[in-house]
Amino acid sequence: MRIASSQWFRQSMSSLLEQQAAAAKTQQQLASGKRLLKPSDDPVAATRAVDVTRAVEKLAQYERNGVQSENRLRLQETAVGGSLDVLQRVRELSVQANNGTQSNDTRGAIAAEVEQLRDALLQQVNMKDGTGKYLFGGFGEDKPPYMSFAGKAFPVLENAAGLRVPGLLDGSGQLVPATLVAGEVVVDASLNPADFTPSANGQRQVDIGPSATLADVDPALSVYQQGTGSSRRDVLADVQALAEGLRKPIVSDSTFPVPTGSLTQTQFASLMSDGLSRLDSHIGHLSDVRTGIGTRLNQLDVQTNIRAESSLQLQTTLSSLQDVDYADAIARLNQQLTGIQAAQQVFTKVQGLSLFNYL
Amino acid sequence: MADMMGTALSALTTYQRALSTTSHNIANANTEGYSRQRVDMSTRVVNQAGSGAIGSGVQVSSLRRVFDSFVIDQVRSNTAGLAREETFSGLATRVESVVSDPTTGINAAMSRFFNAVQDVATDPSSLAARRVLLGEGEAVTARVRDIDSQLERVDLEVNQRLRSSVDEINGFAKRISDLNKAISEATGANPGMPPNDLLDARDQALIGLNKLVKVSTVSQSDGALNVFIGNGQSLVLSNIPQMLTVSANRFDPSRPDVTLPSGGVITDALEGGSLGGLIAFREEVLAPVRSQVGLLALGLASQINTIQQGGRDLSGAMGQAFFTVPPVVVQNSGLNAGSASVTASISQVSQLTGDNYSVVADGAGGFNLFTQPGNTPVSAAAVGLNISLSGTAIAGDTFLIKPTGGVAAGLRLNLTASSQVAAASASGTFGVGDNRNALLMAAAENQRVFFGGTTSIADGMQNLISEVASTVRSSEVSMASQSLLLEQSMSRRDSISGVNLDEEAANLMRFQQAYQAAAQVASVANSVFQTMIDTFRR
Repeated sequence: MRIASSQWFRQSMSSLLEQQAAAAKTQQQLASGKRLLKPSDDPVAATRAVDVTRAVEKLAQYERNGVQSENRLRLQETAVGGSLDVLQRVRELSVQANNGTQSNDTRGAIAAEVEQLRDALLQQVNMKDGTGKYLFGGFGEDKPPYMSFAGKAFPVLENAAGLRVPGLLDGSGQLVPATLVAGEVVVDASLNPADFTPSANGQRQVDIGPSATLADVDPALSVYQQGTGSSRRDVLADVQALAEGLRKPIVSDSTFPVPTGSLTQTQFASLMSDGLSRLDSHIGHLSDVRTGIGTRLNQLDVQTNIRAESSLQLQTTLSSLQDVDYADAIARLNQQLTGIQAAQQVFTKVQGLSLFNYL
Repeated sequence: MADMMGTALSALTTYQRALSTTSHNIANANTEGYSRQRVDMSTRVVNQAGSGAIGSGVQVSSLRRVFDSFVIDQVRSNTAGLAREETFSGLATRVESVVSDPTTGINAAMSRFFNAVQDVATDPSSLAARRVLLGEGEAVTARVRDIDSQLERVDLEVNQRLRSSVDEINGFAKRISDLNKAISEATGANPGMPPNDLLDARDQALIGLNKLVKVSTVSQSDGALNVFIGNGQSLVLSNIPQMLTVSANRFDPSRPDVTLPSGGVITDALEGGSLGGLIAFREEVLAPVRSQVGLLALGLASQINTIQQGGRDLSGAMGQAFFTVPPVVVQNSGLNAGSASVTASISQVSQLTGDNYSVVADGAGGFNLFTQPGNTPVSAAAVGLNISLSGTAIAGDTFLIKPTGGVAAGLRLNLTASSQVAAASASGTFGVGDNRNALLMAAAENQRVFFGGTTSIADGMQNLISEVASTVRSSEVSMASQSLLLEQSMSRRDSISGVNLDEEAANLMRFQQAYQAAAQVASVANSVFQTMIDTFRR
């Protein structure tokens, strides 16, 4: 084939420029550490990389969600553990008070301690988390779930207008609005129970994995109340009842009439045995709640491990999709530089050749 | 002896011509588009003498350029092909970097937005988390607007380049018609002696024209060349150029169309060259990407708005729209005779495709709807639109509907206070810690809302990037292959028409020797003649 002189020049020039462009690309890959400099370098890998990057980001977000849930669940664990300690102490005191050697005075001292313990329980149920929210408030975490009313503690009922009243367990296990009549807390007949719902209701679900959700802290009523129907009991009310019982002077069974505000031996004994058995079932319930929290914390741990594993997996995939293979790229760069050098040498050699040199 | 002298003189003049042609070749060895020329020699007319036919020397029969019109045609069409791909892929790469940048792309902003939704879902009564969400919502709208304005800038540049391309095409048309005139005059004045350098210049002008737009040619018997553009519309007829003009698009006056002197719009018929690349880029990349970005923005906004309006905010009130979505863009054709107007709204996001539609009035108060481009009839409900025509429309009045056209440019955050984020569900008792609605919002990322419920927002973002990336990729591949084709045809052309300096050096020697020999012949003839004179003088 006939070769024109300009063809020589153009061909060597374009091959030189091409090789330089290829070397520049390799150099850019080495400098950035990325195989894909733009998505069009490998559209399929780039699209996969977008997908995988988002998945990695989401895992990091689930991690954040998980950490926050864990903090709150640990607080709940502490609070429930504290309440269990309180109830154990109440139980000890009740057993102590049930002993025949106790006088009205010593029982009064015990009653004072039980009342203080009841206050401790109120503090625990109205406990706030680190950011000032009521831990057991459920969806209504901005308001305390229990209130003090007439020297006693009651779960709060609220209506749509925001009216907050103490809630009393009626015989069927329903919370109904209560009011104070002649020093006694009684059902408030002027309010329709259907308008009111517990202030602490609802339980948040938190996303902690691509397909895993976790229940956040339990609302107050599922922790500090237990039982269904007529056997539903409130921890704080039962401790309160014990304290009140212990305060009352005891008279012998033969006393007639029994003075107002006093209890007979038998009445006291049955009060104590009822109280103790209720305490036991409350302790059992709170232990269950604590176990439940433990299970959830465990689940968080499992999810953390799963996340770490899949995150590692995804990072590896991502790296294989978009990161440069240094050994390969350096070898390629060397080859390209050698190519450029060769092209340059050929260029000068060929351009120097001319028949005119011999004329 | 007279014969011998005549023969020698014919050789001297012929080789002089040959030597000057060789010098011309050497001089133009690096001239772009130059075809080497060669002198064709033939014997002069024979003198019939009694003893037989004695030759009477040499003559230049023609001075022609060495070329192959087929190869030149290939160079032209490959030039047009490469120029198209270069322009197309250069612009497409810019769009690619706008939509896919890992930090400034739409993807990153949407990811952060959904992360912020998760933070609100985990701690719904936290004002800080809500503020961050509003900030990220604002950032999404800002990103979408910014991407749209960058694409808008590309659009403006394309329009500007289209205008200047038309000017350049007109310049070439003028030049080619002038050359046509000169060539046909030269051919007429000197038949058999082609005006080589003018022909080269015209071929070069045609290559220049093909860089701008692909043309086809038909040669005339007088040496002129007629040039046709688009679907066979004439650009140069002999020595008369048909000047193209730029007119405003009938729907969008800011968008230029290429128009013939007769008024016909040929924008869509133009192919190849940088202008063909510009138009293809505008239709195949820019417009679809802009409407896809709009569709994504619309999908996100309408999805989040629906969820937000179905929940309760921090004060317990029903949520308000999170984003403000601008109304559907409707453009009236400048050619409409009636006074009617069209209003359109979106009825079903899942039915939208990102396409535009034209509404053509039937003159009886009704209208027909067509996809644009494509012109396929569709029903408004099937494409997720509510359309109403009001006022008096004359049959044939046309309106262009861009369902997602204005969304990206006009998307704004509607919420002003962080308490307005509706994280709580509307059902059940209200509580500030309720996160059920926020969970729904977080799930919206992967809810399949587009294209008949087959594609989620996350998928949509991926599709956008992958579509642009594949387009750029394939245009880069065709650019490489066009460049190879052009290189091959240029090599073919060079190997036929290019000047080889070694060859010319050899020719120089050859012709010089022949010239010297002819001079020697003249000198011999002279001495022979002298001998005869001397003989008779004694």
